[in-house]
Amino acid sequence: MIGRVKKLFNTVFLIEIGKGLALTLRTMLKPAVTRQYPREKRKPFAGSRGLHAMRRDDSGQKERCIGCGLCEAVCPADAITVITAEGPDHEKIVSSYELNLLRCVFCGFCIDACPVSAIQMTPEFELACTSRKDAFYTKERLVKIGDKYMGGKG
Amino acid sequence: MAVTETEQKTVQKELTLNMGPQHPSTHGVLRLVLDLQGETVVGVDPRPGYLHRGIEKLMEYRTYHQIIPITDRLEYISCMNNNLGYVVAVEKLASISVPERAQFIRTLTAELGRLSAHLVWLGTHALDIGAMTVCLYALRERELLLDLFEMATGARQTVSYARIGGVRNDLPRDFFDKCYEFVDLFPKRLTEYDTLIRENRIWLRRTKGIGVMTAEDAVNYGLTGGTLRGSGVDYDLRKAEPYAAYDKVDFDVPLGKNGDVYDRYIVRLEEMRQSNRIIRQCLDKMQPGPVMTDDPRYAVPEKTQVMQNMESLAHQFVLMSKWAPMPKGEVYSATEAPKGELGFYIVSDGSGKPYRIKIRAPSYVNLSAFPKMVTGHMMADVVACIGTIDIVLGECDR
Ligand code: SF4
Ligand code: SF4
Repeated sequence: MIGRVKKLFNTVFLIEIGKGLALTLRTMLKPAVTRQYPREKRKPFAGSRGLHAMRRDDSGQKERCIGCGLCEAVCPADAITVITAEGPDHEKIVSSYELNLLRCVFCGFCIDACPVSAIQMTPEFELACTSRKDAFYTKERLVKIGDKYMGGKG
Repeated sequence: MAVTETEQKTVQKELTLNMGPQHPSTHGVLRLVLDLQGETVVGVDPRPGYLHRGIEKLMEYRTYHQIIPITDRLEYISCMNNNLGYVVAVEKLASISVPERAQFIRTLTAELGRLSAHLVWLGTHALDIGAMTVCLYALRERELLLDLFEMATGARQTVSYARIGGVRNDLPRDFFDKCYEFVDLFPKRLTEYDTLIRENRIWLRRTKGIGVMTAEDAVNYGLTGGTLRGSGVDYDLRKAEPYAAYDKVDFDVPLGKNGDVYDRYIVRLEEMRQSNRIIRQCLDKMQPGPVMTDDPRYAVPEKTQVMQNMESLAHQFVLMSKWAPMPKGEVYSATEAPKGELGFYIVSDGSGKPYRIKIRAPSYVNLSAFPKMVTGHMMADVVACIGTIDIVLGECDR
């Protein structure tokens, strides 16, 4: 009986709707959680997987990559192309290293695979570009990003 | 004016209506061909396939290791659970043992994934029915989860976190503080959702008695997940065939009674509470230890070892370029994904690439019950029923 009276009371006075509206009103008075993106930027967490970067070797003169091609082999999206050649002192040089960001899925397998930790990932996530050419990252560009995030030294 | 015979026929004829594939409430690109008699649905024919990317075929051309990022793209809302389902199957194929800490991390992240999937479900389902606030609140909480994912794995959505034999990396220290903060906060937020819709009269009218599946029907259609448990069938793979660390944590399997949209909503909401419980237990029970198997065949060596040790370097090269040979044979293994039973059937020919992988996608199977649920109801209940079977087309079409 009491249950039915209570139910009738709730129905007539829109109790549950009132409670809901009270909640939304309370939330309205709290500070907003939405970030106004281009103006307010979130700081990415450490280890965030963003744009790649190439480290320099211990001499700081050239890239750290030894041209083993393991990142190319492990990449599930075929985004990396490594071409090696013979240098003036019969050493192996990386004549071309190209990362195609249009294919990359940012899985991070290349950085897990690299045996000398040459290729790394930075928290850089603003990668929009206006031409296809800008989405291809050559060795030089990757080294430059590495300098920005990890300093000039290896 | 007298009604001619042809006119009479036109009046009685059903109207065929195409809903989707570009429709905001079809949760992706589902196309429904509805037969309508006035406002009543008399027949419906779901036509999935608009998001087919040939995932199973793509997998045949990748090594076992390279397949992990592809599984992210199945049910793209809870990538953690897909990664887990796949690696559990591979580990079963090659009998790889996984260290305990990795098992706990997997359980923890899988439950976080379940929460993120259920929050999207709750938000979109409520939005379809007309409760917009719930959607905004649910996505607000999901943001915290995505932050946790980013801390743990480096990515917010396509995490590729589980590895064959373990996980990618151990959890960072500040992850634990953040995660404890989240599990403390989340039950309060669940109460807020309850305040908004649980007793709301509009919500009740739109969900009670709609899309009823009896327990018998649900089993016959092969439903799994919350869609099955809403009908009162107690079947949860986390209890029935425990994997990861689910046998070491304590949780209940919520069940519905009537098998309507409302009961499935209650079941999934209660599942979120249970997930929260599991997460807390995982955080409490986790002991320090390795996160990668010590099985010499398949363990990916540590970076420091690779740089110092010739054998590790050679092993790294083999694993990363073509993966180690797997035992010949076939294996089926299923895990409880947020949508239901996610199964991987792997046929191995002994090489580093699978010969064939078949994915049992819960969304696809659950969709088969959709015509049964919706026939006889009103046009407006169609969106309520799509929401309640909780499909993600990425997984359905593969
Ligand atoms: S992050 Fe993944 S997809 Fe991108 S280049 Fe590296 S391995 Fe390839
Ligand atoms: S970046 Fe690393 S894995 Fe790739 S070719 Fe260079 S050394 Fe090898």
